[in-house]
Amino acid sequence: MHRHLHICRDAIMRILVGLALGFMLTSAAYADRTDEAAKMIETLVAEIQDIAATVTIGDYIYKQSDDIIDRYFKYETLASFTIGPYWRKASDAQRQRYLKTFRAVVVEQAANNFDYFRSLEYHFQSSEKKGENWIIVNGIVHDKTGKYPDAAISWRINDMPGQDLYIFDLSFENVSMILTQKDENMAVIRQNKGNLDALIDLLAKRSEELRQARLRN
Amino acid sequence: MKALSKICGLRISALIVVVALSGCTTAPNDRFTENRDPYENTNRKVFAFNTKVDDYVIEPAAKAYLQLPDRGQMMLTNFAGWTSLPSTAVNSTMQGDVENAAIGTFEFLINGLTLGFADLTGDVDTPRRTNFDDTLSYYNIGQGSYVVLPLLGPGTVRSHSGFVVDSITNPLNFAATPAAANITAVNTPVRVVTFRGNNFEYINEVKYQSLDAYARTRSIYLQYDYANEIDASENYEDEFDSFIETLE
Repeated sequence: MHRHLHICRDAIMRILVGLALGFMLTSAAYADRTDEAAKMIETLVAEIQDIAATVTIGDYIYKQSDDIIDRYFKYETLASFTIGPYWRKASDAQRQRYLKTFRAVVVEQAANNFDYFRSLEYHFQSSEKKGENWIIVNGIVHDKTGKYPDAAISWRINDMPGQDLYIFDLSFENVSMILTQKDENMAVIRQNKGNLDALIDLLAKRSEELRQARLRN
Repeated sequence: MKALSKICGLRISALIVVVALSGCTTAPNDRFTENRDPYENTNRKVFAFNTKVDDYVIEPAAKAYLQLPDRGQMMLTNFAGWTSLPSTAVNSTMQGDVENAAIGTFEFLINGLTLGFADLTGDVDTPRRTNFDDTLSYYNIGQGSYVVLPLLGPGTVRSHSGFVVDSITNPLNFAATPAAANITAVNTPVRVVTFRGNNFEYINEVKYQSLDAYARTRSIYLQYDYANEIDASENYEDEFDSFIETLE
């Protein structure tokens, strides 16, 4: 009887230890990275404000913007999202051309808007897990000049286990930048009867206009 | 006679709303903008017309508004907000929010001492701005298709219907005084110009820097509108999740 009890207790202990280990391993696999995500955004904002406060030379700002895209975003993934199903249908040459021209537009737009960043302040509000794949970092953008009212800003960070965090989207007052870009790109392609090259040509024209504007400033 | 024409106006507006709202249930309430825009060809033509109106009338007027001293701009913005307070009161009541209706009425009466040009109540108990579109949403009536109307601009069947009802049922219309008639006459132009002026750079960015200004405006409008709808953001989640899952 006594021996029986011992075996029973051992079995229960083994199950409990197994469960505890399993729980610890799962927790490690799905570690909470909400604080890390919030920290990443604060570092990015500080970096942008630093550049905006000290640099005025257009070419340098362009290079800095380009560098920020590489370090905080997963550019190819984002670019493929912005043309939806047309990415799969595109040839390798079209994909390469699209990646190049779309990037030029994004970087030129960022470089052209650096002046605007100078007057902005970012205030962190919250960081929370959304579904399995995302962390949403919420904040408020305050314009120090008082010209614009405070705006709610949300950063959508991709949080896949085993991968580095990266920014997937940015929303102002619930308007997503990446969805807006995707809707616009898809509309241009559809208006041109599914011709991706028409969008690429338009992007090339737009990036050149933005480059000229940057050089003029 | 005036009262009779008001009643006729109300009946016509009711008819427009009933007809329009019958279309609200037909369009899916999803995010995919192309599905929400069954009249895209016509909408694009109206959008082009509105852009011309903006080029020649609204943008120059907004520029003039921005030339006013800050105080002048503030007075016009206050006036535009003040004229919408009666609608806020009426619609808050219809939504069962009596407290908001009372705050709206109080603010309307107090600021009415300056015809709405000054905000005498400050930030104390600012009413939640609401309109007939929100009331329809409150009663779970769908937004319907995306429609661009001449001069009124982008909207949904529901929001445009709401605008028509708000315009006609605004209690200011029923005040039989010359002052009220003047306020009603200048109300919409002032609201349009102050809105355009207060969002001058944002709107110009969409107007002049888009690859397709129509598509960009539609996307922004529908996303913004969805943000006010319950569970609307879940539509975005599906779109993001399904994309990310294809990468795994």
